[in-house]
Amino acid sequence: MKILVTVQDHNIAPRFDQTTEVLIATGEAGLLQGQVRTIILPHRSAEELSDLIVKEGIDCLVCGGIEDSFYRFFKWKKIRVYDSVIGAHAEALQLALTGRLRPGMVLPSARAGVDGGGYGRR
Amino acid sequence: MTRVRVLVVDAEAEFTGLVVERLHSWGYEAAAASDVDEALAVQASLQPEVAVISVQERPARALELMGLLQAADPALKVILLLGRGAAGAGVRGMEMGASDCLPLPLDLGVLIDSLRKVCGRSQSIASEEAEP
Repeated sequence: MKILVTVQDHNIAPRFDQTTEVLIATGEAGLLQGQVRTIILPHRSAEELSDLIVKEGIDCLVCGGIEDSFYRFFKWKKIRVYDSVIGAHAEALQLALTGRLRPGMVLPSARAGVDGGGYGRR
Repeated sequence: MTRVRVLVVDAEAEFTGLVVERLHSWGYEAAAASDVDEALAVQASLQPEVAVISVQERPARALELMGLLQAADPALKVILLLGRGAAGAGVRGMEMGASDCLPLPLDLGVLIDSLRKVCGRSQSIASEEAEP
């Protein structure tokens, strides 16, 4: 399974369309296969990020808030989307690899005081 | 051994900031510039061994900058980052002496490999244990 996680600092990026960095990992049953790749995007662009997701053959997307049109597009492309996830990207990746991640999860690593502004599907 | 010095040039400060931050974590000494004047100023102060230049909307400007940087330091190695539709500029850049061309979005691991290759070093100093 190939997983893409949108990143901002050490957390999941709160908005898909504002993402400038992503991690791509491949793994099964909790085990990573190979290195986690870091990709830096030249622009904040949901379209360019979507292109990357399709081009890379991603099976599973982990992100914060995402526009409904993109969400539906990925569903149509048979890409599993875990949206509205809040917390550290490393923790989210681990949970995704072990099949324990769910949309809308607030991970234990989520900082106190995160109010969720900007999260959720729009 | 000294750390490899890298100049990163792109009009988007957020992009160059992220790349510079990640290069720091890999043990490189890196600085960003957003235009020609700033790039020349950073070159004078940092004296980079490698310039990473983004080629996107205005490829001619990027190649012009590459020429100016190489005129100031003929030993400077150049890595071009090619945006969509910039393949032609990449070809011209290679003819002008660019050492490598990488696609955008930028895969950080690919950039690190390219820097190692371009610098002729198996590892960046301090990067050996800085990050996997």
